[in-house]
Amino acid sequence: MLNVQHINYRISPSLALTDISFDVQPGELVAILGANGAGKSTLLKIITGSIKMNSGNVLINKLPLTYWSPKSLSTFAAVMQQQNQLQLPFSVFEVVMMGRYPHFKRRETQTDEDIVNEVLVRTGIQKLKDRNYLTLSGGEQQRVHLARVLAQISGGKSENSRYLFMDEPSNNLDIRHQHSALNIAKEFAGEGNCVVAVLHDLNLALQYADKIVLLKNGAMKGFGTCADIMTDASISDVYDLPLSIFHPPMGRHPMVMPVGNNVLINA
Amino acid sequence: MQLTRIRIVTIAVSTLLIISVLAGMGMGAVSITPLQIMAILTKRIGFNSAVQYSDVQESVLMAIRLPRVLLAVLIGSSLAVSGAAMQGLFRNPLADPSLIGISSGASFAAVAAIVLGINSISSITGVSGTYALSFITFSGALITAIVVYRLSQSGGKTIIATMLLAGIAINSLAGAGTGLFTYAANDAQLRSITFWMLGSLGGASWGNVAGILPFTLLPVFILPAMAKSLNAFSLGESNAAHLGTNTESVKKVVVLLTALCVGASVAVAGVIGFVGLVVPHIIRLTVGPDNRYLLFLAPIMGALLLVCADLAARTLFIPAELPIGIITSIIGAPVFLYMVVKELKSQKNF
Repeated sequence: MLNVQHINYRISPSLALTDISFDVQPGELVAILGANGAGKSTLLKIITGSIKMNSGNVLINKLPLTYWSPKSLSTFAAVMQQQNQLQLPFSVFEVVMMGRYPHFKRRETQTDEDIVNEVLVRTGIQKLKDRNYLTLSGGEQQRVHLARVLAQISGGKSENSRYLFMDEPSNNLDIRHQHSALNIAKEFAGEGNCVVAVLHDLNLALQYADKIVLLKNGAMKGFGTCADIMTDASISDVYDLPLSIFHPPMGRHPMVMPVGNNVLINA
Repeated sequence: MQLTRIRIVTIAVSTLLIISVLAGMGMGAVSITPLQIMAILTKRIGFNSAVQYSDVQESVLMAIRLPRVLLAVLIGSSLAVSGAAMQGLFRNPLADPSLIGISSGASFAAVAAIVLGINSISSITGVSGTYALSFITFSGALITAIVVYRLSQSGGKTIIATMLLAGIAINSLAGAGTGLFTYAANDAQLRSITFWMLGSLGGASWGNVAGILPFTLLPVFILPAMAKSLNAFSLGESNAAHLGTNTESVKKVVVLLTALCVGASVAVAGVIGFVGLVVPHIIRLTVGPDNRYLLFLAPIMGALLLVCADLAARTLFIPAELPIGIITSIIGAPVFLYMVVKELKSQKNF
């Protein structure tokens, strides 16, 4: 379980977070939504320990973040960042194997190799296994990193849940791979783990998130299930754009669309 | 498959190293055959063989050739492994201690110390003299390494252009400073200044070998243990931290050990450029970028390169001797240019 309690953070008036609190239960995928510059990535960096908060608490398995050493944390919590800076010609297999680094000392074991191969299949990149990472397209590279973080927190036995943090995992992906990435994340959460994802695409959030954190200018505008907090009013306010949520018939997922003078709506 | 390949490369490079060491000890004005070398060396540990050799051969080998070859092995292996580790730290194959100014920072410190008449240094001879000078060159190397690293990092990324430009700036600043000191220098000092700027193993002695032994062996044995962390570093510093790497200690150890061995090798042999660039590059071409293999093979191939370069430096134009820095630059500069062009092309593809 992940508890975020009253986080405050300020480095300049334009970049500040005030009193952010939410919980992620095992089995849940929580999406962080907000306009550009609302502080989503900063919040994720605080939760994952990359930035120190001014006040507040982050509890992982009921223990404060500072209790965990980076080494022990890395065996059950993985972070998929927005940008990756690999400039050396590693093969896809080698990059994904880096996810297993917290689990072995010098040489990978057969178990590590099995996990990497299984994750490659799960993310649909087994064909790229021996390719040079640098020759891949942006979307393919993104999927390699998804495989890497999954490899990091797969396998073995653990009573406690594992944690996956993702900063805009759908970046660079086509619509099919956006859905497959979020399906994988959702499936991972379903195994009793906690997933937190910063998302840009409201429709993806509506379809996959169990709960949503709404951020505006570094402040919480709401936390709860989609049905509870995703209203026309709340999201229009958060994004400063008139938006409306449509509920298609036959139980399909709700969709968000901009509304305004220049948009024709057949109500 | 990968492992077989690494085994083959290791055996091949090690064999070549042994051959080149024998050649380095045997070739020159007085030639000594491999059998004679064996006989002279084994006599020291109490073996008497039937192979005949002269007293001249024995004293040339023991007083001149052997320390010189050992110096080449120590300097070559430590420069190569620290270059490879630097590249891991900067996340870029172009980072090399001589290119980014660490070596010239060290040599400037040495020249400044000598000309400014810290006479005690030149008067201390033998091992303690090497230690004293090593300490000064180490300080110069450490300061430049920290400055360049700080300058080239921005938002957790290495800005390659800044790194290379900072290197150019520091190289020319150190060059100008060294040039300035040449006006204040007397004849003997002038000779040693040239020596520091171009690099030579001509001053090899047992005192030198003992003097740099600890500083060059430390990187060779410690840096390979950081290979996994440096692999993780290639994903960026924060990703490495999320993979459980203690990034601060990796940075400190790599910068410190690099400054240590660059400082020590500059103190006894001057600036020998490009070893840390060329050797890792060749290894990456043959076995790939994995630091676990790179940092293990780099010392062997670095030793090979420097023993061969020194052999060329002293036998190409007998009786004149070329500065070894010129040889390594002739090999290294074209490789560097090729790598820059390749890097530019890969950036265009994005």
